[in-house]
Amino acid sequence: MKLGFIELEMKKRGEKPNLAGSLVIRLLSFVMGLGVVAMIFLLQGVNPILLYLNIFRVAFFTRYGLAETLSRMIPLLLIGLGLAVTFRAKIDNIGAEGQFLVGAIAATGIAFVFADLPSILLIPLMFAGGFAMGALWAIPVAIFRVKGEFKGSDVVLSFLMVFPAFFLIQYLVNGPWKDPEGWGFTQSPLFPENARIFQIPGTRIHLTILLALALTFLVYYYLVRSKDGLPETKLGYEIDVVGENPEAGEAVGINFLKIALVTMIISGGFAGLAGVGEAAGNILRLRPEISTGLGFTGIVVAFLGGLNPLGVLASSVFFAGILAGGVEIQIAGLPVTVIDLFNGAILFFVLLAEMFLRYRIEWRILK
Amino acid sequence: METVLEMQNICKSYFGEGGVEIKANDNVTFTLKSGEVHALLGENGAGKSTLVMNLCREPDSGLVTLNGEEVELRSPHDALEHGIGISYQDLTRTLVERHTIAENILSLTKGFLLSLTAVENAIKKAFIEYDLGELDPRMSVWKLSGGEKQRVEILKALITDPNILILDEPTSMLTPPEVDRLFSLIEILKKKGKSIVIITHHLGEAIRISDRITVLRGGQVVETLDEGRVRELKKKPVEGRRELAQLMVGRDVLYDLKRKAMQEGPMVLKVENLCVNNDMGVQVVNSLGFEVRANHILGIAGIAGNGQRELVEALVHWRDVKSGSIFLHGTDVTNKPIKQIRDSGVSLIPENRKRALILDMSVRENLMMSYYMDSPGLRIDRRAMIEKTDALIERFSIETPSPLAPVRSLSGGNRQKVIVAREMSRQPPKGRPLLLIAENPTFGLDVATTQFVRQELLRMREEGAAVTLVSSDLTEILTLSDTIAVLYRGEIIGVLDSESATREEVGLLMGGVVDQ
Repeated sequence: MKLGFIELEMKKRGEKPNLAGSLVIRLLSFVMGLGVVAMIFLLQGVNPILLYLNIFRVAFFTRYGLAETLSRMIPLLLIGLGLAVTFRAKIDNIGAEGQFLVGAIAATGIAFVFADLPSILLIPLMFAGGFAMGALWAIPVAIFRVKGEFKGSDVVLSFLMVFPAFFLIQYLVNGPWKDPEGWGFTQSPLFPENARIFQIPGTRIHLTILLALALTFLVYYYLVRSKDGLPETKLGYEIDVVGENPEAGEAVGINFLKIALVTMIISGGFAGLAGVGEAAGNILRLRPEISTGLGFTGIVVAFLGGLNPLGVLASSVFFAGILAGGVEIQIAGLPVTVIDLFNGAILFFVLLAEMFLRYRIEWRILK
Repeated sequence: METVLEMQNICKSYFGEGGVEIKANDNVTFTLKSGEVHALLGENGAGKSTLVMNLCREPDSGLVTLNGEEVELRSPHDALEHGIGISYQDLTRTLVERHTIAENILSLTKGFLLSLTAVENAIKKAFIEYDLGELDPRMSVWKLSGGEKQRVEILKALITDPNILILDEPTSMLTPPEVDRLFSLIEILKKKGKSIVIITHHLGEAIRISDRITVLRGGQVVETLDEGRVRELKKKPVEGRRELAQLMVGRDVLYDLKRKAMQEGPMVLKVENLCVNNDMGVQVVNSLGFEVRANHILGIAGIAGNGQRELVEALVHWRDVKSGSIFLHGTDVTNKPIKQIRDSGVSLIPENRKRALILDMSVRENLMMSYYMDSPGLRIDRRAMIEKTDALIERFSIETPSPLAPVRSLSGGNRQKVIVAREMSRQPPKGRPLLLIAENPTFGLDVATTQFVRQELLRMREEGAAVTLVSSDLTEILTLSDTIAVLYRGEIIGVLDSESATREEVGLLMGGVVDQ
C-alpha cells in the first residue's frame, strides 16, 4: 500500500512472537483501547485518568467493590472459558448470551419442579440441567458451521439464537412462572431456600466460584497446556488442528463435525452453568434482565485472555472490575452504557493485537 | 503484414517455496502480426500465461512495443486503454461470483455515471453479435456453468472492441460445439483485422486455428513456426501433432534412478467407472477405471486440469464420487468416511501442501498428525510421540532448528519432507500393503529434494507399497512408473508400459492425440 512517500506492506510472521513479545503486543493494544475511550471521556469533560484510577480503586481496593468484582467474575469466567474453547477451534460462537439465558431458565424450572429435594441433590441437578440446556442451544451452531448449504453461518445463527432465549424468558415470567406476589413485576418468585447456592455472608460471592475455578484448571490442564510441544489429550490436539487448518485435520481423519460439537457443547454448557449460578446464586429469581450482556462481554474476556484459560481468568477479573467499578462512571455523570463502549473498544483493539501477532508491517520510504 | 505487438527479451521470475527462483519467462521474444491468429503452445509452467500477463503488469526486464511505440503497461486498465482485451484463464479470480453478468462487465465500462440497463442491453446485443449464445445479463455468475462463465469472460474481453485479443486457455471449459463456435468467431474477428493470441496446450486446436505457433518450454521460446510451416502442419495433422509434441516436451535426460525389477503383488486399489464433478458441477472425471497393485507404481500422466485433482480427491473422499466404485483391498470404500479410508492403509501426498500441513504448528505436531491416534485412551502418549517424530526428522533429514519450530519457518523442500516423512512411514493394518497416493510430489522443489522424494517413492515400491503417482512432470512419470496411464479430459486415453514408452508417445497422448 502506498501512502504518500512511504510504502507499507503486511507480511506474515515466520515464527510466532514469544510469550513476552505477545504479552507486549496485547498490552499495548489494550492500552490503545483505553486511550480511545479516554478521548471520549475527555470530550465529555471528564478526566479519564482520574476516572480510570477511581474505577480501579473501587473495584479492587474497597471491601464492597472487591466482593462485587469477585461475584461479577463468576459468570464472565465461565462464559469466557467456554468461548475460548470454541474460538480455539475457530468456531465463532457469539451467542453465549442465549446459552446463558436458557441455563437460567433450566435452573428456575428445576428449582420449582423439584422444590422438595434437599439442596445437596437439587443444586447439582440444576447445574446439570443448565449445562444440558446451554449445550442444546449451542449444538445447532456446530451443525450449521460444518454441514449443509449454510456452511459457515455460525456467527449469524449463534447470534440469532439469543433472541428466542430472551423471549422465552419474557414469556415465562409474564405467564406460567410469574410471581403472584410480585406487584406486577415481570419476574419469577424467589427461589425456594434449598435451591439457593450458598453465598459468603455479606457478599454476593456464591460457591459457583469454586466450580468455575475448577473448570478453568481442568480445561487448561487437559485441553490447552502443552509440554514438550505436545498437548495432554487427543481432544486438545484435535481442537488445535481444526482451529488452524480443518482441511489438513480432515485429511488425517479428524472429524470437523465432532470437534465442532464437542467444543460447542463445552461452550454452551459453561454459559448455561453461568446462567444457573446467576439465577440461583445471585439474583435468586428469573428476570429478563438477568444477563445484562454478560454473554457478549464474555467474547471480549476470551480474546483478551488470549484464548488461554489462565489468561481468561485474569481478563475476567479485569472486566468484572470494570462492571463493579462502573458506579464511578455514573458518579462522574456518564450513562452506565459507557461500559459497553469500553467493551467494544477493547474487543476491537484486542482483535487487532491478534492480527499483529500473525503479521508484521514492513515499511520503506519511497524515493 | 505489419507487426502490432512486439515483446523483446522479456524476463519474469517468481520465488517459489524456500526462495527457489523460478524463471517463468527467460528472455522471451514474441511478435504478433496484424490480423493473425498466433498460438502459444506449451506444457504447464512453460510460461505461456506469464508471458501475456506481462501486458497488464510490468515484467522484470524487457521491452513491449505496440505499433512500433514503446509502452509501459502497468495494470489491466492500461492494457485496456491500449486496445488489448484479455480473457484470463483462472475464472475464479476474474469473475465476481456474487455479481451478475452485467455487473461483472460493468467494471470495464468507462465514465463516471452509468446505467445498468444500458450495460445490460449492450451485453445482450454483444452476445448475439458475437454468437456466444444467449445469456441473461442479470443472471448471477455463480449460477452459470463452467462453459457459460468462460463465454462471459471472453465477452468481457471482446466488448471493448480491442485490436488485440488475448485468449488464455479459452477452450478448457467449453464443450466441442462451443469450441467450434468460438473458433468461427475467431475467424470472423480475424477477417475484421483483429490480431489474436490464443494460449493452449491442445495440439490439435493450435494447428486448427492458428497462422503461426510459438512453442514455449521452461520459460523459453523453443521455436516459432511461421505461416508456411503451420500450413504444412494443417495438411498433415497427425505428423503435425507429433512434431509439435516433440517441441513441447523436449528431450530432457532422465534422472539416473534405478528401478529394480519386481514381481507385482496383490491388488490394492481398483477403480471402476469412476465419475466425479469439479467445484462447478461439471463432470471432469469420466468413467475412469484402473488398478494398482503392491510393489507397483502406476503413473497417471497428464497436463494439469484434466481431472487429476478431482480424481485424487475422490479416491480419499475429499470429494464425492458421482458414480462408479472404488475398491480397497477388495472392499468397496466409495464415499466412505475419510477416516475409514485412511485407516485401511492409505497415505496421501496432496499437491497443495497447505492441505496437508499446519504451518503455524510445530514440526513435531505436524509429524504426529497421523500417529497420535495410536496412543491408548484419551491422552497422548508424549514419550512415544517424541521418539517417533525425532526418528522421522532424523531418518528423512528434515532441516529444522528444533522439532518445536513452526513448519512456517521451514524451507519449501523441508516442508515437503515433513509431509513425505509422515505419509510414507504410516503402518497399514497387518498383512496389507500401504497405498500411497502422491500428487505432483516434487512440484516446485529443488533438485536435491526432488531426487530424494523420488528415491523414497521407489523405496516404498520395493517395500511392498502400491503407489499411485499423479504427475504432470513427464520426466518423473517416465523414471518412476511401472505402468503409465495418460489422463486427458477426464479419461484415460492410453496405457503404456514404461519399459517401452517414449517421451514423444506420452507427450502426444497428453496433448489428446491417439494414434490409429
